[in-house]
Amino acid sequence: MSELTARLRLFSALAESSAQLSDAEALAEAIPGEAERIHAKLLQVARDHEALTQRDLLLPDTPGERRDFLERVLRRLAIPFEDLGELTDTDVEGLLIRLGEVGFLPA
Amino acid sequence: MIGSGTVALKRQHHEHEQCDEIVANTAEVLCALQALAKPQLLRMKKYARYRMRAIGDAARGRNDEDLLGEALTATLSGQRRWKPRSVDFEGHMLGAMRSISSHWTDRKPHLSLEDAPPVASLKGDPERELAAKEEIAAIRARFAHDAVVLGLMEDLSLGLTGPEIKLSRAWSQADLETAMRRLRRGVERMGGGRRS
Repeated sequence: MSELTARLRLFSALAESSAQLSDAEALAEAIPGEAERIHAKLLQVARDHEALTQRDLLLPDTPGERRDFLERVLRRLAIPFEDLGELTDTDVEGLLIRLGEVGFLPA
Repeated sequence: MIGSGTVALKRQHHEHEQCDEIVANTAEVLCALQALAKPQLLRMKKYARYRMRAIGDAARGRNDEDLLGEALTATLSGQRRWKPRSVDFEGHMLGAMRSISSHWTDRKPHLSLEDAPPVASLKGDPERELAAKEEIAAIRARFAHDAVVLGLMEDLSLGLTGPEIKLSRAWSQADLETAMRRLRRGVERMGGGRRS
């Protein structure tokens, strides 16, 4: 068995067990303010998605595909970059929207 | 009479199945998102964090909140369909995150359409194997004096299910849950992984 498989199984089991936490346990193990912060972030994702769909930009559907798309766009525009790993999905989406606004993407 | 009753029952069953297939529209998804309670959000976040640690470097720089965001975006775009009569919104999001993160482990990274560089498979990459080995070794070291949790880790790494672990170790459900809680809390105190 590979170490990758062992880790995958171990943390997958932890994920599934965390899904079974009671409300009281989930609250007891939380960092104060964490739930509110996640909620705000998810609501922002929904707003960004809505803004994106209203702009009629021909962007890929998922954040993962958009990240790949941005990499290809940057390469084609010969814009140097090392790694997009530090950008969040929201950053990637925002950057593509800006590129669209200045005419670098098909609308 | 028996025949017509059977037909009626079958029709009822079919209609019930059709109801289960009803997919939430965008407004319903947004409504469910607004209504999420704190414990639900916390379970989703914790679930995302463990899924990201499960896949390690295959996450390609993404973090747990990216996974949450991708599950939501995929639902809003209709790529992942939420069927409210079959599962609540939290359950749907967990399923979407499970599926998306599994998909990430399968995807071979590529940088451009033009050069399409050769990329080693995620499986068997020595560096990734080493990183996973070190991560598991660090957790084992933390529980060096806790044979129960070490045993649980071993079983989980081998892919044993909860019922199989209980059977092989003659544990009660409470024993399993206690050991699991100890493991989870220990891992969380250690930190690690790419957290947002």
